[in-house]
Amino acid sequence: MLKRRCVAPSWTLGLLACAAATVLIGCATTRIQPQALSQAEIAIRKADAAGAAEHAPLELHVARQKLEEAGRAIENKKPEVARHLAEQAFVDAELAEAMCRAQKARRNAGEVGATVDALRGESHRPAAD
Amino acid sequence: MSPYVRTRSLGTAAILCLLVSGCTLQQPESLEAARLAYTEVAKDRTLAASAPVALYEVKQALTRAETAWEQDEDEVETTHLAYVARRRVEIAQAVASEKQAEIEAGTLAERRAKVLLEAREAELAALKARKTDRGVIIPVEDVLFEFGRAALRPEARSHLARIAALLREYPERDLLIEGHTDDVGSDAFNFGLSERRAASVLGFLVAAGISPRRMAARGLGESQPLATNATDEGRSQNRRVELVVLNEG
Repeated sequence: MLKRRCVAPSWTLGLLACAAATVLIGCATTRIQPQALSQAEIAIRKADAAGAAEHAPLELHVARQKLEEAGRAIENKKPEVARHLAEQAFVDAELAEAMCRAQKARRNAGEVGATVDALRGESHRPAAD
Repeated sequence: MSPYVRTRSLGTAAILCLLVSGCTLQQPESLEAARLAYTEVAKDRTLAASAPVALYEVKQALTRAETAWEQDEDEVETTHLAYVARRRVEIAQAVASEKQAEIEAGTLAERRAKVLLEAREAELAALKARKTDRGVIIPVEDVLFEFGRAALRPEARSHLARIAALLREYPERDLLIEGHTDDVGSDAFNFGLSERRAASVLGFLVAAGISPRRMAARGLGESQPLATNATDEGRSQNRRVELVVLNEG
């Protein structure tokens, strides 16, 4: 049997190891969380800038709510729940933005179409007096 | 373990599972729904052409959900990933819609350009314009002027207004306004009259909002007849002002 060189009792070593592991795991999760949340926040801002408040208000609202809930989940020490909510907020915001663009493109096409119709109606200019 | 015991324990597990809500042996509804949504959208050829990247992202999201279920049977994770996949389907549909609208706008813009061009050509024809190597010449006929004078008759206004409207469609072109007469009377008189008539037209156009910097007016007297001076008809044609929309450059 080998002689123990270590002076400290074995249980303190075990405790230290556990503490270190907890800190490391804690660090890892808190490193992931802000990224997922900040990505969602950026996506929400993008959607807002694209006009989602007007064109896709429901999806934008859902995204914002989920982001808030994600923040609360982190405070409540529920990182997995937070990650899910943040990822969903992200995709909700992307949907809001895509819907915005689609609406604007459809509106634009409609306007161009209207000018064509108007021109056709005007194609016979009034004769000179 | 004997086959009998194994079967019995499996059966027990199955019964227990069925009793528990959210049975993990049956895949989550959300996963099936996501798979269905993808299948539907993947059939749409127009969508596949309009939003290939978005469609690919749907597939990836669905694969992640499937993997979470197959490998870990993690219902919470799978449901979450299935939600993401279904949202990606909606995104693909929105992207496709945007693309289709863009294409339509392009087609309509082409049609509009064509209609505008046709309208312009028709208007030029109605104004009896003719194309020369200098540019397009729009005539202002003798009848629009007071007899033997440079003043414009009232009825000339609407005709000139029409010309002004057309000129606004050529904002980048310079204009030369040239007055001509028949050969009746002295050269000097005709030169003066043609110059004053050209100035009258220029004055009207400036008042109508055409930039004077684009325009110059001059008289050519009887030096460039359009028709013979031997007949009334010919002389009438010669007494004219011509608006030359100069070619670019």
